[in-house]
Amino acid sequence: MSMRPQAEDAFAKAGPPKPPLVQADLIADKAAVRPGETVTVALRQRIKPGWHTYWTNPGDSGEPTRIDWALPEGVTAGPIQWPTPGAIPVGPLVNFGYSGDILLLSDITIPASATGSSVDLAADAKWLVCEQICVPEEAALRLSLPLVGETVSVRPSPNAAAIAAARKALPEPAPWPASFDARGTPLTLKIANAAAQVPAGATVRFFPLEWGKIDHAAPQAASVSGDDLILRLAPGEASKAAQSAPLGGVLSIETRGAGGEIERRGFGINASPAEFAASAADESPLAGTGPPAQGEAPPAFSLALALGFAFLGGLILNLMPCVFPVLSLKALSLARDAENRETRRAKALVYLAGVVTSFIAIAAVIVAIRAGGGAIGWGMQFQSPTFVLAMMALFLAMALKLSGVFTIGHSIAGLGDGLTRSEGLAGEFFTGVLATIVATPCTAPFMGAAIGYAFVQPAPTIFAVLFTLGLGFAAPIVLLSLSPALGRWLPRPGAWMETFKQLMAFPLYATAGWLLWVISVQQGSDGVMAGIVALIGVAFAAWLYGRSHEEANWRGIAAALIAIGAIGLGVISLPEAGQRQTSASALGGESAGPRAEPFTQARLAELTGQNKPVFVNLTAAWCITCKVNERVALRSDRIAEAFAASGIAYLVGDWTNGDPEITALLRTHGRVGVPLYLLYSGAPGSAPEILPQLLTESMILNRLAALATPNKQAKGDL
Amino acid sequence: MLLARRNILAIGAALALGSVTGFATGASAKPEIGKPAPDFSAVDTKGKTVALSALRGKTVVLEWTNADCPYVRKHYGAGNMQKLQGEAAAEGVVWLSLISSAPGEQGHVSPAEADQLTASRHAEPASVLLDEKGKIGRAYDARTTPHMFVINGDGTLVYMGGIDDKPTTSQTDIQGATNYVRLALDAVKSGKPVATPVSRPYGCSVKYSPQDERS
Repeated sequence: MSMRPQAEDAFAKAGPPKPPLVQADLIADKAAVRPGETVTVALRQRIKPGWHTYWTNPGDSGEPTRIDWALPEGVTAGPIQWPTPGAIPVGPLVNFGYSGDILLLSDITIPASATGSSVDLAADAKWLVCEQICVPEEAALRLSLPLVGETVSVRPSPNAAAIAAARKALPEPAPWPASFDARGTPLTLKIANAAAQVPAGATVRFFPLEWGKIDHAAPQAASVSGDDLILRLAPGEASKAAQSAPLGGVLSIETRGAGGEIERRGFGINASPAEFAASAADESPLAGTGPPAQGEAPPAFSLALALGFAFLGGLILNLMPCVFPVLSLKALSLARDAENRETRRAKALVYLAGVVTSFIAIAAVIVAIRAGGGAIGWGMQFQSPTFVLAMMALFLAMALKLSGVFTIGHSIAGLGDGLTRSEGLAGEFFTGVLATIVATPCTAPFMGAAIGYAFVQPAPTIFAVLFTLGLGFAAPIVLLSLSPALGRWLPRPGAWMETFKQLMAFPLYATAGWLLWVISVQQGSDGVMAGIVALIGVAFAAWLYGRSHEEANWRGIAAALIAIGAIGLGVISLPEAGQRQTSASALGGESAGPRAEPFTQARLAELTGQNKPVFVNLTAAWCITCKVNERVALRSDRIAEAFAASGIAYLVGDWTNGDPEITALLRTHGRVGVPLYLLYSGAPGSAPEILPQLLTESMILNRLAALATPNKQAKGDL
Repeated sequence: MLLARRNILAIGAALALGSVTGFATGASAKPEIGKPAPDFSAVDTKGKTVALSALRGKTVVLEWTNADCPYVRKHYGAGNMQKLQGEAAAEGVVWLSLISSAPGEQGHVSPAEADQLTASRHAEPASVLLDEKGKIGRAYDARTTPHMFVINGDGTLVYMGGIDDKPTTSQTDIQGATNYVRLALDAVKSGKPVATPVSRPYGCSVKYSPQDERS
């Protein structure tokens, strides 16, 4: 056997040849062979830690290992039997391959006519081995097997056990019929009856045999419909015609053992093209930690229910602190509006159009991102500090306006607010747009479930759900405008409205303050400084503009320049992404409440592997619902005592700056945004219970009490 | 006038766009054959600004590269890439070599180093663009070195994929391989549709910043 590093070896620029990164040899499962027999020969690759070699489809880059056999007359070699690969992320890309010690098996058939004393096998093996960089290596390998007669007893090869184990670990042909529908985006792969094969804590991934059929790096949303396992896969680059040819690949089901080691089972899948009807009503996302639990676990949503929730969520959104000040003033302005019905109706409809158009635009963006294979979550734009800073400046400007620092136009003192006064149809449209923008920091109850459902559905459903959300959001103002009867319920206009308007500035100041806190969590003290620069600039600009009212335009222009300059300066002085800080406050470090540790999938797997109860809180600084829950329900001494008493581990995942593991966990529970609260009972193999998005202390205490009666719990999980 | 009603609304609209780009974080709209190629503007190693939109009327080749990658060395070592660059230049094709390795990642080079590589390899790109933030790479979903794109005079993407159909590091495989880029350039020149508009890109992965995972 000889190894020779290639001339192109990136390392072999100078100096003595380095040892190969992969130690390779050939081993057989028999110490000797007889004519007419088949022997399994393995190319054994012992790969340097941190490096990997590739599967038959190497993924986004790389090259599979190849073996060119030189065999005696009549001896034939079968193809490489590939072990189930692993997914190796490389920045935004993914490779499919192996690390550690692996055996690539080939079956060698000896002809019945074979003669001589031995069968000499020679193989030219070539592979690419990569870490950060890639190195092509090759080896000329030999294996000589004694050829013996029928009567001679053959002692077992010392490698027989290793090869048998490798054979056992090969993907087994799936006993389930598989089909896929490539008409839509994402394409849908359905593996019938496979749902029961996915044990608790398993991660499911489909590895395509060929390039171009699916996007290798895109997340794969798994769900269960009845007994069927359903995967949604972003399409690859190959033509539509190639997409609709049968789809071959390996379904990998990964579980973590008690010691944290990964166990991988693979099933060979050959899916035939099909056309599925619309999503089954009973489809529910596959929990990463097991099949969906019954009872209160992810509700099997129907489209109708999702639309109902979306409408309700949109309605409630009007009451959220980021929106209420703006829209309450708009509602009040309707009361004093003396315009005729036709004008009011036209304006109401244009406002509705503004809101609905904005929500449809959001839906379009979501669909586009998903088509590109990106992961998406509600509120994810708040992971961008630039966006947070700009929103903060907007809220401050609106608040200053309500405080009377500046006014716009010459209308009756203050009552007609620039944001809410009805003036022109275009204005109404943009009021709708603006209302949607100020609503984005808030998530209302019911919205999370509806949006979470929609995001894993086909595009028309996403549009339908967001359209309905927009309808619900616009409904109060539209109804008030359209119905004089409802309008009469509004309080009579009067001087008190000016006071009310000024009062309403404070929720807006609070929102701006909260966004500054979000920046502090994302960016630390430097970020706060940047935010304050922007805030002071906006305040100064507002004051300058307020002073300039009846005077020359130059002050107004200067004010505009100062505001833009201050926000720009703030954005520029935001620290680089790499300097981002992690939040101690998200962990509840400084407050009362149960002792928390940061969430990682590994830690969760470890704890559930030990059958310990775990409470998982997925949160973000910019998620107001999360903060409210933490304040009112989680950070109390009673909760801390109850957690300690029942030995519950408390894991907090901070999604403020985004985190792929948290995104994945959200996804497996059918959510696309925080908050998400999961309670693992600690019963072996049980799925977590998903707690509602609005928590109360008593509810949590009740759940903990239920945990204390294990019999009941175990029954519930069956 | 600042914060006049319209302006507030304009700021609102701008923020809506902001939220749109915020949403797009971490995702990439992928380039498609027959669609306009994503526009970009970048400063090349000589300090000259190269904008795709300014190259209308000319055929443009994009070549993602990384000098130490064994697959890149295969094609440069054998003179294959330089030959294709020379042929392209003779036909008035604008050949842009792009290096998307992030700072600190393998293959990241300074403009001077990039020029030295061009000179030492006798390469003939019209320009070498350093895309160290990976913006252009992301826009084109460039995954490997080499990864090749051909854009026609209308700015339409007509080819994306590998340089040829032999995904190996061995120079001996160049002979007899089907060079898809040459075929695409020939087709564009003669006004015919490109027979193989998409192929598997092969090579080393583009060394984007590892923090920039597509989660």
